[in-house]
Order: sequence, then C-alpha cells, then structure tokens
Amino acid sequence: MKKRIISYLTVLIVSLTFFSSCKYNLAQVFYRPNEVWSRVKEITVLTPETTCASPDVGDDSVYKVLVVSDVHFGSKITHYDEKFYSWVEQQFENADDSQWPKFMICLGDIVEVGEEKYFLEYKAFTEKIEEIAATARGDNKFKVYTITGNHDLMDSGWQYFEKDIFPYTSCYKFTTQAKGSDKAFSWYFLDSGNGSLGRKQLKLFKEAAYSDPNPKIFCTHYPVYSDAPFYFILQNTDERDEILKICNDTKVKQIYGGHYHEYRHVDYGKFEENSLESYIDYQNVGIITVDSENESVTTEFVQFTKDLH
Amino acid sequence: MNNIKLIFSSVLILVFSTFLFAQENASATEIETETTSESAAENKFSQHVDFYQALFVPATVTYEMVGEQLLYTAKWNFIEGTAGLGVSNERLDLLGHVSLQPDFLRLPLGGYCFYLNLDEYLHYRYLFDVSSQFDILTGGTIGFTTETNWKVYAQCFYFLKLAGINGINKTLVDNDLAAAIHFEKTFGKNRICYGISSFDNFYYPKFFCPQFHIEYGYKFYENIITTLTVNVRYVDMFTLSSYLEEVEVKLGFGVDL
Repeated sequence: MKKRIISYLTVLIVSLTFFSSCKYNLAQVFYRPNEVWSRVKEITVLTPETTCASPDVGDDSVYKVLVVSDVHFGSKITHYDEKFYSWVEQQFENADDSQWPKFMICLGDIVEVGEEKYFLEYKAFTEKIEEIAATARGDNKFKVYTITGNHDLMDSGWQYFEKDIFPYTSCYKFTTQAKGSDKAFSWYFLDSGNGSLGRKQLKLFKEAAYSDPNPKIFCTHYPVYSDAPFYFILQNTDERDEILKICNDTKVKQIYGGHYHEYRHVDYGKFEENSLESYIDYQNVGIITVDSENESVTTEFVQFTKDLH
Repeated sequence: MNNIKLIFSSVLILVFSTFLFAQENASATEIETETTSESAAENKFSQHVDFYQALFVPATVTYEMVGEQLLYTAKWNFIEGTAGLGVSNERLDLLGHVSLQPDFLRLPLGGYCFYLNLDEYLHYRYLFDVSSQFDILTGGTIGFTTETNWKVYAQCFYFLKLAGINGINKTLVDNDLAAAIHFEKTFGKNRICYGISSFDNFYYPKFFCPQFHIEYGYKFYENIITTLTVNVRYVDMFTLSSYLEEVEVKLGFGVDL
C-alpha cells in the first residue's frame, strides 16, 4: 500500500513539474488569476473626451476601418510586419482621403504566450501603424483598438495587456458618427479570451445592446458560431444562442471574430458573421466599409503581401 | 414560467404520492407483493425514479439559478429507457435515453464482468425566449464491474446539435463528440461516484467543456437512496484558456418502484 502511494505521488509530482515548465503554463489549466469575471467590471464607454478616445471619422458618412486578428508576437512563424507597414502606407497614399482608414481593430491573440516582451513588441507594432497614419493625417487620432484572445491570457498575460495595450481594457464600446450627421454606428468589443463571455459580461452586453438604438458592429476573439469546428468557437451553446438572439434583435450588422485562423462566413439574414484568416498565417487584413446613412457594412479581405504595389 | 413550475411540482407530488401508496399497499398485502415480485422477475421489469433539486452557482456570484430535475428509468430485459424532465427559471429540458444491454455483450472474466452497451440520447432544451436546441447522441458504453463492488465505465458518442434561434431563419448545426468516464464504488449502504464527462443528462455543451463530478449516495431503505452531487463545469479546456463557469450542487432522492 505504502509503495503504491509513493508511486502515485511520484507520478503526480512529475506531471506537475512537466506542466509548469511548458511555455503555455499548463499548470493554469484549472485556474488562472484574472478570469473573465474579474477582468470585466463594466463595458467601458470610450468617447472623444475620455483618455482613451473613441475614433474620429470626420465628415465622412462612408468610411473604412482596418481589421486584423491573431498577430501572435512571440510565435516562431515568420512575421511580415515591414510589408504590412508598407501596405498601410499605401492606403494613405490614396489621393481621395475619404478612402483612408479611420482606425484599426485587432481581434486578439496579439502574443503567443503571456510574456511582457511580446506585449511590448505588439505595442511597438501598433505605434508604428499609428505613426504612419499620423504622418499622413497630420494628427494623432488614428488608433489601433485591441481585444484579448486566449493566448494573451496564458501565463498570466492579462497583467501586461492591461498595463501596455490600448485601450487598457478588453470590454468596451464606442460610437462613430460623421460630423453633421445624425446617423451613428456603435462598436462593441467584448472579452471572450476564456472561450466564454461569462454570465456577467453577457448580461452587461444584453443591457447595453437593448438600450442602444444605433446599428452595431460586434467584435470578439472567439467566433460565436461561424460554422467552424466545435473546438474553435464559443463552447457554451446557451451563451452562443443568447448572443445571436441579442444581435438579431438589436440591429447588429456584422460580427467579427478570429481565433480559428481560417476564413468563415455565415449569413443570419439580418446580420452576418465573419471569422478572419489570421495575420500570422495568411497575412490577412480586412477592410470594413461602413455606410452609416444606409446602415450597411461590407467587408473585403486582402492578403497584404500580395496587395502591395 | 410560474405555471410550468406549478405543473412540474404537481407531477412530482403525483409521482411521490403514487410511490407512497404503492409502498403502503406493498407492506399490507405481503402475499400480493410476492406475487408481483415473481411476475416482475419473470418479465425482468424494474422501475426507478430520481428527483433532483439543483442549484447552479456560476463563477460570478452575481447570479444563481435553481432548478428541478426528474428522471424515470425503466428496464425490461436488455432494454433500459430513461425519460427526464428538467426545469429552471431560464430553461426547460426534456430527455430520452435508450440503452441496449444485451447479454451476449457481457463477458465475465476472473473477478470482473466486462460489458458493452449501445446508447442513444435525445435531448431537447427550450431556452425561454431565446432558442430551441436538439441534441442527438449515438454511441456506446464500455465498462466492467468487480466483485469488490467497483463499477468503471467509459462512454463515447457522436453528438449532433441542432439549434433554432427565435427570429433567425437558420438552423445552426454542430457536429461534435461527447465522452465520459465514471468510477463508482458501493460499500454497505454508501455509494461514491466520480468522474469526468463532456455532458450530463441535462447538460450538452461543446466537447471541450469538461464536467468534473462527484456524488455521494446513502441508501436509507431497501429501495430509497438519497444523493448529493457536485458538478464542476469548465469551458474550453482545448485552448488552455479554460474557465470555471459553473458549479452545480444537487440534492437527489431515488426510489425503486
């Protein structure tokens, strides 16, 4: 009996040692600090006056927004960041400045694992893009808005995300409205880094969405459904159904997600869901065109390494 | 909602009244009981009812949900069927489970008895004002029992989920897997059961949402058992971003009719 107990303990200790040495920190498989219920206290509202300001779309009722997902700094896969910078510069070379993107979105998994050096690499990446935009626009209003993915949480990465990555929260919303227009769009960025919004965030989203009459765009890291394989979408089907019901009832026009790294598109009738091909694997970037007068949203996807002049 | 709970409570009362009535009759007319038992033995027919009062405690303590679950199980020869009803303030669940347990798929070997069952689960969930979900699980159970009253079994299923959301004219289709492994030990009047599974009678999420469960049962009388079950439910262990979503605590009473 004693021999058997010693054997079990040995296996247990060796297993735990193995888990803790893994760069993904498997020891956190059952629990990690900063779960979604502690990360999300509220849906932070960004406005032109807040420290982290909402984007400025100027006078244009039809405007473009860039969206990428799964950048994965720290991954062994080759990055083509220089080519992406060149592609972004190319967007700002258009003689018609109404075609210039107004802001950029990143749908999470900005790092491979939660080490601060990778978060700082991502921060430098966004600063470079903002710098390109600032040079063209002559102001600092172009921003990259980021949300959390599952990789960003690994090895307690949230502490660095919260400290280093604009807008320093992973659950927020803002409104875009052309000057002189009464038509606005609301953008919701929700934290699905745990593979779930959690009951609290879902409740907050529900309350906010039903009380907001604007057409909406909903961004999250995990695809809600997307007709993707079962292990790459939101896992709680009750939660999934409720999100889709809210989207259907509250004038959501598009859902954008990442995580799966492959392209998926689903048309639900009143709204659509797009899962993006990843930046890291496919050098993919989405160009969202918002027509606030007609309350419509279209998305074009390009491979920036091939779209360079 | 209140009406549904009222109907549900009435059904429960009816079931337990029937049971108590049956018990009284059984003790009063011993001869009749013997005759009935012999007849049941001939037909190999048995019945069992479980009632659970469940409390769902999510990771955030801002929300709690109470529910009731009722399971009726009948066995005739090699066919075991279970019908279930679950209700809470958010949803209504209906369950059907058929298990084929033929003798030729039983293999006594030494102190063990190995077996293979074929199982089919049908589950319907109505999330009030949100959606309807149909879950169809097809697969089997493989396991063994020992002379020392251990029962170990594993289950594996192909899992098809169909969902229709109110207001959306599209059926969501998920091709999925479901699996479970359970360990059960009986000693005297006590029973302990523990295991891990990706589904439960009234719980059918995606595959990588494991439920860790432990149950203690105590047999008060020959045919009455009371149980305390704790189910710890995680979301998404596949991508290592797992999240403790909910703990379900259930108090149950089971009766052999």
